[in-house]
Amino acid sequence: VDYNACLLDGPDLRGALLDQERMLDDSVKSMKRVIDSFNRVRETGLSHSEALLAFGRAISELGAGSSDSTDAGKPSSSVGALKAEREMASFFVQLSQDLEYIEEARRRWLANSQRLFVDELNSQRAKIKAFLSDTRREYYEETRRFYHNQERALAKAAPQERDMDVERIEYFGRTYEYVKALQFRQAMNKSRFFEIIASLQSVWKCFYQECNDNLGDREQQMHHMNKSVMLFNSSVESAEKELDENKQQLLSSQLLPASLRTSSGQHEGYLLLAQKKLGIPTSWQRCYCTLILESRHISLQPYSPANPAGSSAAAAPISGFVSSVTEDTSSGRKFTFEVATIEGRSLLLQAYSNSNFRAWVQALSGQRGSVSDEQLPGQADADRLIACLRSLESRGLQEEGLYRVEGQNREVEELLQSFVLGGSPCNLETVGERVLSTCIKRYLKRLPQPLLTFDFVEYLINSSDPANDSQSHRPLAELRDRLSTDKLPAVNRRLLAELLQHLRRVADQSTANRMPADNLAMVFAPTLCWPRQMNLQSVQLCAVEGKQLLLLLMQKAEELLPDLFQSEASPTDDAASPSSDVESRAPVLRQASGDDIIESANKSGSFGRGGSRLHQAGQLAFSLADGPRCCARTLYPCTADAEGDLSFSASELVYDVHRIDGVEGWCCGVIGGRRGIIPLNYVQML
Amino acid sequence: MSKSVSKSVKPIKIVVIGSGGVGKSALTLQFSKSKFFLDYDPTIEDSFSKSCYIDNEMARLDILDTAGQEEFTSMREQYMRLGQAFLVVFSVTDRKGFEEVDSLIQLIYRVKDREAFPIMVAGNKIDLQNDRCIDQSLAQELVQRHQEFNPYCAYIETSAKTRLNVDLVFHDLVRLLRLYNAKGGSKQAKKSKCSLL
Repeated sequence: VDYNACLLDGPDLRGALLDQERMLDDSVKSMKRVIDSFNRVRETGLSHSEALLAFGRAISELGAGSSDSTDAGKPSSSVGALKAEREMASFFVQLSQDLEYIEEARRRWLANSQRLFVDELNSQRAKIKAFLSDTRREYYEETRRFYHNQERALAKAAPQERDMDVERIEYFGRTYEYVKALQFRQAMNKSRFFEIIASLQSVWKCFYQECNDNLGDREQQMHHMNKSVMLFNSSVESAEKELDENKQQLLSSQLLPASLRTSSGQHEGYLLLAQKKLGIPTSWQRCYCTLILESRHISLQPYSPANPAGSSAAAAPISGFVSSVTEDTSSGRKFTFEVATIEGRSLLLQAYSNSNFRAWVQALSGQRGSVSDEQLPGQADADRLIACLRSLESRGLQEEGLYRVEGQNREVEELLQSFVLGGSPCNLETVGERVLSTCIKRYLKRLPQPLLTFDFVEYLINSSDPANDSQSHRPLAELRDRLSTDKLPAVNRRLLAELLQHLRRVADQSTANRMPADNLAMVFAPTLCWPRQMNLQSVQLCAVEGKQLLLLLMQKAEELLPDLFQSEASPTDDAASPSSDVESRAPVLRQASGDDIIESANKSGSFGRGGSRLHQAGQLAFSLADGPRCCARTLYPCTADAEGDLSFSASELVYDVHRIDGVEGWCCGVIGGRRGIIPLNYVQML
Repeated sequence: MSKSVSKSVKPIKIVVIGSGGVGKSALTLQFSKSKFFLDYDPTIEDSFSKSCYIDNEMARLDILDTAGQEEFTSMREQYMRLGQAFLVVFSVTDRKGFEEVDSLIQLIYRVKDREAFPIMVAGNKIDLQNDRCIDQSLAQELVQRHQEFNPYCAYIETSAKTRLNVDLVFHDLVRLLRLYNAKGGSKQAKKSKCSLL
């Protein structure tokens, strides 16, 4: 059997089989040896019997001879001899028979044993064969099972593992090839390197010889070169010096405070300029723009990292005299506007933010913001804003992070544009608290100038004292003067008072909404005061100072806005705790009848300086009443025919609606910020 | 050795931006001080610095925590000029904060005058699963839209309260910045140097 041909055999099994085969061979050999010895024994036996036969023949010959002699001489002895002869002969016969028998027996035994041995051998061989085939089958089956399991496990566990194995093998193969290639290339490189070295050596030798030949010439040349290098260096140095001087000049010119630069009638800052191709804006480039307000001359310096602030004359600036400015909506970008120049050029510009945009458009169109010619916020807008405040107070004061977390942009804009600015009717009850609060903040932030006016903000910044950051370092009298009717427009004052009142109420609920006065002041400060010149420093200063101011205002509103808060200033004047103040007054007002309310409104109005504030002051007093409030919508238009009645048109919202005790068919409410008496059958309760 | 390294390493200016009350300060404080502060004070501006090893390389982070309220937007452009990498935070419980992410990223491109910049978008407050209104897929979609032209932009969900992914978000931002400096950023820097000469 060719065990080597059997692929499945392991080396151990094959060794065992080979051993057995060898043993078998050995036993066969020893058997053969036994047969040989038997044969030799038989041969010797044969020779022995031949010798015996020869002896017998010799004996019989001797007997015949003796018989002859006895016949002749001694007859008695011949009888004895004959006897002996006979005995001898029988003995020989017996012997030969015996020999023959032995020979046959021996032959038979030999044949038998030989056959037995062969049989035994064959059976052994068959057994071994069977064993071999059995083991081989078992082994085969075992391996098959093993492979099967392995395959199943592989298929189950991770197909990528198989891939990885294959990959690894491939990888090793590739690595081997790569290493071989590398070695080959290394050898190549080595030889090439040696070649190069050799060639270099020869070149160097030539060069060296040549150098030696004309060393003198070269020295002279070197001298010349050194001279020119020195000259170049000195020129570079002088150029650098000049550059430094220029830079210093530029920096010093830039370091001028922004307010100084703008006060000279300039408006400047970064804008994006559209590069137009065939009338379509294709790319936007940052430019530093300077507008001289007097002459309306605009110049745009393209920005490059090397010359910030557009102060270098390297690139050609675009300049011209502005003839008109229009807000642009066609480009799809925000804050874009188009400037037409007298020269006939049209520039499409984009600002970085809304406030930036408004400032530019205002400056370009020739408007210059001042307190006197701006009556914003408008009376109607303010009324609607106050309606928002009231609506928020009636339900949303518990909202966590009120005024901090902002509402959705789209809804806020919608409310701001349609209701607060546009005046179209809107059911405020359905608007989310966050949207409402963000809208209030955004309205204030979008005013052309802060609610406290730029003058006030400038005073705030100028009087800031970094060493003394307590909120009370400004004299109250001075603040009161600056917040008086002479300095602050009436609408602003009214809104401010409403807002302060509102913020107090929000702060009272700070356990629920997590917005105590401090947080509110921080959030509200930038919506109430921002600097004319927007830069990081002034905005930050404004935020900090504004916060302190707002805290002060919230605490001491009664002192600072005495005419608007007088009606509620209690004789004890405990301004530090406005909440207790509010509660203590509430029951008094609730007891009052409708006529009394109007009367008290008139009275408190008389403390104000103008008749126009009659209703405002009264309203402030009423808003303290903590009675059951609800909202209503007017059904029909109505014109007031008595003092204290309200005029309104159809489908207007009424806030703070109270029934008046003892007066049937009438109620008290607020429409557009005015409080008064409304016939009940003209409104529908919401 | 480490001391000399920490001195020689240039600080990386990271600016944390996002809408109001989304947890920018909580995230920054959790990263720099390993604490969750329960305060609810709005930030005007705070800065922290922290040194750490990121991918076996020393990094000094100067983190600028900014104001989220829209009243402070006028300051945004100013600090955006200073930032080398931006962490844009929104809260998964606040729709408005998420809406603002896109415009903030656009503003970064505009201020930086680049098409691509290292920006990490973090969806914070994911411990508040019940109040969640911004799906992960929604945020992923937004970031993928930016990734089309800005490969240095990525999204991750965090929780400053449970400190989930807080370190990761800052570390990943540094990685993005390194990648950016190794590829796109260095080219531009070289270019500007040439123009100086």
